[in-house]
Amino acid sequence: MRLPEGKRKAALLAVTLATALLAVCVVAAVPQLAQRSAPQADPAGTVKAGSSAAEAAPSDRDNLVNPQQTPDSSFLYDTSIANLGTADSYMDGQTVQVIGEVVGDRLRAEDDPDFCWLLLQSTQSPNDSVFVYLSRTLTQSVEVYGAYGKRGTMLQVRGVFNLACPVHDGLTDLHADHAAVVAKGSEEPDPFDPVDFVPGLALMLVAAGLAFAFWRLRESDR
Amino acid sequence: MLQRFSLLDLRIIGHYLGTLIVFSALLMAVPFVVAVIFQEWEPASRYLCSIGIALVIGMGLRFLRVGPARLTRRQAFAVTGFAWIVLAFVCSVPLFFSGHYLNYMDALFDGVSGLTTTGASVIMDLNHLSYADNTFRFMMHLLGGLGLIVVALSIGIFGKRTGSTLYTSEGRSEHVVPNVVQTTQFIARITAVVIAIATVLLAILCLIAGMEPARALLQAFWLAVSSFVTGGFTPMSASISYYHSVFVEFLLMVLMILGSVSFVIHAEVWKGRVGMFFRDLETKTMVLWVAGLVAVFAAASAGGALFADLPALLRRGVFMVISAFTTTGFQVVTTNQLTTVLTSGAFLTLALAMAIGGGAGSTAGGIKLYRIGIIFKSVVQTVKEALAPDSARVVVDYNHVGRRILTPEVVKSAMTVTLLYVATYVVGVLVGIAHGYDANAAIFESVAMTSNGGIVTGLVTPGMSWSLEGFYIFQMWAGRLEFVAFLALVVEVVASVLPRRAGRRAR
Repeated sequence: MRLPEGKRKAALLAVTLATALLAVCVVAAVPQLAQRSAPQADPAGTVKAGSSAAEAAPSDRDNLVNPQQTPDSSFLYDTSIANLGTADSYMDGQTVQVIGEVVGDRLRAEDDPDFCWLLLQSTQSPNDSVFVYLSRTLTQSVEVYGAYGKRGTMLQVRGVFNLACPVHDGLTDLHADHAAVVAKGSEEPDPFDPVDFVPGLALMLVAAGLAFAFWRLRESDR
Repeated sequence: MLQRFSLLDLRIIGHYLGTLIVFSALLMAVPFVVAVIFQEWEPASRYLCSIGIALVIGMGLRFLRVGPARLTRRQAFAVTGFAWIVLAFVCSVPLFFSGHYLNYMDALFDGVSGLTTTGASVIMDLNHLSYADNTFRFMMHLLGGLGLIVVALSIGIFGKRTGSTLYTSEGRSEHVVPNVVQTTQFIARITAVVIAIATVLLAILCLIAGMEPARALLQAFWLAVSSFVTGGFTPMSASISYYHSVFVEFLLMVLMILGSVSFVIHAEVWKGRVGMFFRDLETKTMVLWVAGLVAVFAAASAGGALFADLPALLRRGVFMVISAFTTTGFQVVTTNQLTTVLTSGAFLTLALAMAIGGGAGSTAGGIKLYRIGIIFKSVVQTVKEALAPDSARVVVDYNHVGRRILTPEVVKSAMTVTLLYVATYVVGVLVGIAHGYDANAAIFESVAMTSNGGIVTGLVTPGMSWSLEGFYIFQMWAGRLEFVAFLALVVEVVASVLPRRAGRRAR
């Protein structure tokens, strides 16, 4: 069957317009899709990257639902301890990864003997630190705990950051499920150098001389 | 007419300040010994040098008056007033050379904060500080908490003749036993016993938590000192949260409360008169005040995320309220939580707790519960007088180490000091705001400095503006002296410096 010339032209025009519209839509959508798939920077300056769960394609292509995927574990924030020190509610419950020096002691967790507490100190800003709650087995690789004359083991930990932890009575902490040594710690004991004590001893001698002179003057006054 | 300091006055004041500086060398001997024991050779040489500097300066000043000289009341006020800042200058020398301060002003800030038991710190990298330096920080707390003069008198540095004048000039009037020196020795003895017991208990808890024995013992001693003298310094940057122990927190709460109770009351309890403690005006005021604070804090926190549940409120909320009202300054929440998670109502409740402070005659700072109790009694008297017939004579009494009648002099004194505290709080807020900070934070910090409370919200940081730092140093100093000795000193210094008027000279 052959369409009349007028209707054929109208149909051709409609198909051309629909194709053009589709092309415009595709062109407009491509950059947005590209942007979505790229890593995003959040206001805190941390970088959001696809986590292993997000990157892993489901082996079974028919199963499009991943029951393990939750909003809290979908993304990993590779951030700094200083950023956690000024974190707001946005960071609460997020999975984060930080690197810091282990300082102080490994303290027993009151609620579970298999877990313990570490204090991870920032290397860039030494007044910032974060509590890490982790399994004792994860701390076996920590050999040196930072203190005077000791540079603690540098540890990279990954886990859930809590601005006010519901399990630990509102403490700001990081529940780590992964810890890896980035750099070994070292012990740098003070070298004993007798010359360092000379100024102090000289001043003590001067003070002793003054004390003696004062005593003589006071005695002569009487 | 205002009296000027004569040359003789200045010589005598210099002599006694020199004696106190020599005494500070004894204080530095403690960290020196600790440094030698733990083979921290750099701090050991630094403290030896600092001891030498203190001895040379102190002995040099003692030459200003070689013969015996009894202090007058004016001179005693000047010695006490200057002692806090002069000793802070001397004590900040070893701190500065530790390399943990950005500049000397920061070290001086920590020196003043340590001696006045404020507890705010601008130290860098505290977690790597040597045992010796930490010991020195807590020795400053111990000395300042008990009172420079009390400690000096208790070990007989000034002798008996000048003791009484100096003792009262430090804002103390309580006499546990008739003799001043014996009173100071009694105060030192109570402190030693409490700190010794607390050290043992805290050391056991630290050992159970997993610390090495030496660290556990030292940290226990430092915490015991800091809590009982209501200081606020801690050996770790994370403050008391570091220990993750509800038992440590409970013990520290008990110590802070004990430290905020007047030594006279301690003495009465020591003698077996426990009833005196419960009848005392300060105890009653404290119970009512703390109950009210906890209730308001709980209500204000209920809307926030941090202390919304009861265990968190009991553990962190109560601790923070006690730390604030005793003006200790320990923290179990982070500075970030104070400003971002805590509700503004709960935040200001803590500031109010610091503003009022603990008991008079104790190591706590702030306006003091005794003065609040007296002002409340004065209100009661005024209402009673309004309701009573014209011919009636209204007498209101109160119990503070025995029954006493409320007199206009007592009320006037309480009102004056309270007013001076409030005025300094306000001026401090204005200074903070003028430096561009948020009003809430400026209020909190100003109160924390003047009351020697020490809980800070981020204005007090390493390398802070020197003008703000200088003003906070002034606030800590004035607040510790409870203004009267401080103002007397300022007026006398100004009167001595200003030239005499020509008219008066002609006359």
